[in-house]
Amino acid sequence: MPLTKVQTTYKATKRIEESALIEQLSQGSESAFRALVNDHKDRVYNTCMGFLRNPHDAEDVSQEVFIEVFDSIGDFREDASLSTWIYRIAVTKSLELIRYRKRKKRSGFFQALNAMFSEPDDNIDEAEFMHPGVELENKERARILFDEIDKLTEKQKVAFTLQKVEGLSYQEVADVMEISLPAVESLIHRAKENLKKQLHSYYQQNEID
Amino acid sequence: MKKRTNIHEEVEKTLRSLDELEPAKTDAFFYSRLTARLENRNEGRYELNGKTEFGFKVAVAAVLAMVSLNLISLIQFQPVQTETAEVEATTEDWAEEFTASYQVLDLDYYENLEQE
Repeated sequence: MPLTKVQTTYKATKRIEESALIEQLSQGSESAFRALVNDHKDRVYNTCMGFLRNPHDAEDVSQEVFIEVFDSIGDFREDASLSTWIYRIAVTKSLELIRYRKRKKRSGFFQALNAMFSEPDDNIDEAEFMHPGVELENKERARILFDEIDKLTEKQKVAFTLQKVEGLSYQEVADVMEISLPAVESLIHRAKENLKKQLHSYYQQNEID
Repeated sequence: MKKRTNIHEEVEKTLRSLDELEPAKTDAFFYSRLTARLENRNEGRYELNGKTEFGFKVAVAAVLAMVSLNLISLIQFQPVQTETAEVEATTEDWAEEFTASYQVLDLDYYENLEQE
């Protein structure tokens, strides 16, 4: 669909504003950094919550995202928008934490050692947590769905979560994941099909009253 | 059959359970916590640099001390060896003298005495 003149002008203005912000950030401007954080903090936090489903982890990773932005703004090439770049960092950092947790779970010996020495916060069972935006009546179903999302392949999980939880458009998901639009469509389609199958077998095993 | 329909309905409802998801939000103090973490990190970095420098100095001092101790013991060890050799030599001489002095003794003294 071709862009209207107003849309084109709006995009161009936004680009100029963004370039100015990046310039200020590169020079270490605190007010620019504050503006950037305030503009993006909720979206970054919501993205992290979608993957991690733990408010402490989501807060921690969100902070790491902005620290990374602060540290490497000089390396940012303006071939993607600033928000896409920030989303990308949020996804990468969330996945890194998930992988780290999985590795920790696999190594039983080290897990036992860790349980002895770690703070109680580290041992929070993520299945106990629920996304705060879930309506009360949907809480149990959402918990089951989140558990099944965790079983998808990483790419399917990222595409589905960004689209469903974060509410990004397919094009935005494609930009964040650096893949083509048809690839995103295919990933989300396969994710939905797999989730249907998984949920079906879940409800077969756990009979509905 | 009824059960199958129920499962199908439940699967559909579960898939729709995130449709009206409200986005999660941070609180008003997020920026303060973030800047505090950045400041702590920088302080930690300076501390770490300080510690590394201090550690390097300690390591150099320790190596120098070890080298000096080795040199001192080498210097000290040489005369000790000579002295030991001298002592050994003196002991041998003394033993020979001692043996010689015993050889002076007349072993037939008592026989001679009886004959007398």
